[in-house]
Amino acid sequence: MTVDEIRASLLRSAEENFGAERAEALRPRLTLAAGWMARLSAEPISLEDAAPDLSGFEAQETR
Amino acid sequence: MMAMHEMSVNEIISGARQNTLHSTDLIDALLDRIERLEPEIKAWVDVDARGARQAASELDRTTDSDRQPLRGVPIGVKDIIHVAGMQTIAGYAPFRGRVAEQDAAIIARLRSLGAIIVGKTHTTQFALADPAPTTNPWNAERTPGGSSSGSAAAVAAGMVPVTLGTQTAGSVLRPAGYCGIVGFKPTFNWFSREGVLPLAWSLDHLGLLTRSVDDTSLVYTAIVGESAPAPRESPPVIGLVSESLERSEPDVAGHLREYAKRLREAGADVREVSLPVDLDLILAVHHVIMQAEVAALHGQAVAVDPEHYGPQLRNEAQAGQLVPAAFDIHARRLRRRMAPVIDAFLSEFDALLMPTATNVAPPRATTGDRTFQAPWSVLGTPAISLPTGLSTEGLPFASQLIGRRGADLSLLAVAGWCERTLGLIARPDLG
Repeated sequence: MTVDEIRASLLRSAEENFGAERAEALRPRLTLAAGWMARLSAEPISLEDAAPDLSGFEAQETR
Repeated sequence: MMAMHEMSVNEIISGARQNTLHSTDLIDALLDRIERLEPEIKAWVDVDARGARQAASELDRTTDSDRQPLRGVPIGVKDIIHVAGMQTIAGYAPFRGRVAEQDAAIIARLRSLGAIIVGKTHTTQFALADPAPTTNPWNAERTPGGSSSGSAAAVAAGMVPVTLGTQTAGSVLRPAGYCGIVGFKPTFNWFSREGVLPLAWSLDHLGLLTRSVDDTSLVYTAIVGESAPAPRESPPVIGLVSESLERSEPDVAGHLREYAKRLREAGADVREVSLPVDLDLILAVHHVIMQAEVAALHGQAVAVDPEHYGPQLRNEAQAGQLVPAAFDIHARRLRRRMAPVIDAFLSEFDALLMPTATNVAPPRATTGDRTFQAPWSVLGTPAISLPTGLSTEGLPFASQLIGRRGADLSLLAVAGWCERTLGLIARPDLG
């Protein structure tokens, strides 16, 4: 998906979930979010990719 | 004679141990300073004067038979961390009067080490981005940064030598940088987060704000129960991150180049390097995960009671509810992919060097720019901000050192070398 397609989809969802006024208030943040999602989309996904566990993060033991 | 509010952590501990410093005198001096400066700085939600005096008095009456490593050290606590008997408001009015019954694990640990809890410091609402009332001690029109706003300002103003903060994007290092003090975020989950209100579970870090690397090292090693690292003798190998120079405001980039030049002149091997992963990708991974986790935490409460939420947190929680699950999971997959690449890259250096933020402290309408701190939150690496200069406007410049996950002591040793070799800036003149 292009960034414009993602942004349009997010804005439609915002309007359906929160109404037109809130969707407009969220527009700047959704525009940023669309850019981040488009950047993530550019990274390839292998169909044999391992589960996206969080080893090394949540699993890191407290000292 | 040195004023009490200028004493280092080491001087306080030595004085308390040798009975040359009465903890009650120190606490009284700091409480007087808080009372004098607080109307302008607005660092504190609550000051527990009675509790701090009582704890100090008990220390003065007893001998240091346990050799408590933080005996008599006054500490301020960000107001999302529970302190028994005090409210945890977190910038959220419905929590006013909600008193914690138990100390957070980090508070219990600090008390067992002999530290004195002075009070709770202002935070942005739930540690996101709606500004706290706190002002920057260098210039009241500028933000102290966020979200650990009161914690940074209190240390910079000499109200306490140490505070606790938390960082989900950039909330320890950026306020430390904007306020001209040292801010340290250890490896992810190194400090227990039990009893700390979450913002985004897989990103939240506890951290320390102090006036020097020495102070940070003393408090950090006491908490984790390790010996303080021997002072580093050999000049470090440092990777100067070129992307950070390109994205900084010109005066910030100019300062970092000058700082790197001074490090080289002092013997450090400073090499300009490029990150092995696109900085925009790291930021996208951070922001998508954070937005989804914030929405998972606050989405329901925002729907029921939006009026009590600040606009930043309300927008973040609602926008996060619209992030498709597949994007969130993909972001987590990419974080897993990036971490070993970054770890391998970091192992080529003693530390990476970047500005702490792209700018000096901006006006108070925002809490600043998270671009240079968020990568190290999502990757879980230790990072430390050093106050390394002053702009022509008289605002602090700050430089950030980043180390490998788990190599916190090595990073502190490198930061200590930089501090000893080149010094840090003076504190703001508040009398």
